[in-house]
Amino acid sequence: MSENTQPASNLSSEQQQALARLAIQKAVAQKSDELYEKYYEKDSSSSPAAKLLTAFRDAEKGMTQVRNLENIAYSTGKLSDIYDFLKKQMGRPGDLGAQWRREGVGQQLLNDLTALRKDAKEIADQVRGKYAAGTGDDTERQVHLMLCREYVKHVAAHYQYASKVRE
Amino acid sequence: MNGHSALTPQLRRELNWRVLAWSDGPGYHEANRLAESYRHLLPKPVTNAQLNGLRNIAASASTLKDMRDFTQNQAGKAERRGDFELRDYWNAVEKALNGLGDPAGELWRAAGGSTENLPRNKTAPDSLHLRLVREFVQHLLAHSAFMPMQQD
Repeated sequence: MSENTQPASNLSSEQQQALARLAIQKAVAQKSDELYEKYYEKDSSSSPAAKLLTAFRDAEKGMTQVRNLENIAYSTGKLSDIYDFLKKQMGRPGDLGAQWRREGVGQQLLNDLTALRKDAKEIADQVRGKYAAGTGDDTERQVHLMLCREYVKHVAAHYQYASKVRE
Repeated sequence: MNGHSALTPQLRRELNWRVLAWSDGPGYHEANRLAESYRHLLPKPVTNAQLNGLRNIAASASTLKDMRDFTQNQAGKAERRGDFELRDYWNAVEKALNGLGDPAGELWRAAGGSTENLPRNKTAPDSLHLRLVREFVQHLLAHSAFMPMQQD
């Protein structure tokens, strides 16, 4: 899609909303590719997915946990549901909790997802600068949730791939 | 007004995103702070059984009184046993949950809710207050489960 060349002030609120949505989608897609490159393109051994694979020696059990995380990320409207899921899993007694804590993988996921707030703010600020009427008070949080979903999607895809390669 | 059934679709939408944003922001941080301030009482004497009880009550409570009855009962039991730290914990939980009436009122006003039909001394419907209670309890329990394991 070509960039809109009209000054935003000439656009209606609805047009700005539509353009803001597109700009957010584009920025989130770019950031998602950056996340992929960071963790999975070169040496993926320190990636969260690789750590999960080490932590969950039973790959199928690990896959169930990763799917649960993915399902929550894609079905919730709240970031805190994702954080709370990770905290609860890490806090579980017995093997399951120990596996989530092994290699510090649960904590890394929690830290990485929380840290995406900074990228979300940058994206929201950029888009707000261009299309002020197209953004709202909740934009930054919404972008953060989108970035978390992208992050979790990469983790799940790489986990599934790496577990089959390991077999 | 007791429930959300009389809300217009627009007010419902406005309230919904504001509650989600509150839960991800101040609600999450306040619940974590409360759990952190009683870190030394976890996992005992604040046990999983007590916290699961709180979760079950929060999920099934139809009134704020149900929540108060639970926390007061826990505080009373702890006091009778002479466990004053545990009593203070449950009193602090009750105070935090009661205090959610303030953000509920702010969210209600910001969303454009009317205060005309509310009972005296109420700034938001109890159903909204109860919704914030459920969010808060979810965060409190998750952080309470997580904290003792951080010390490993």
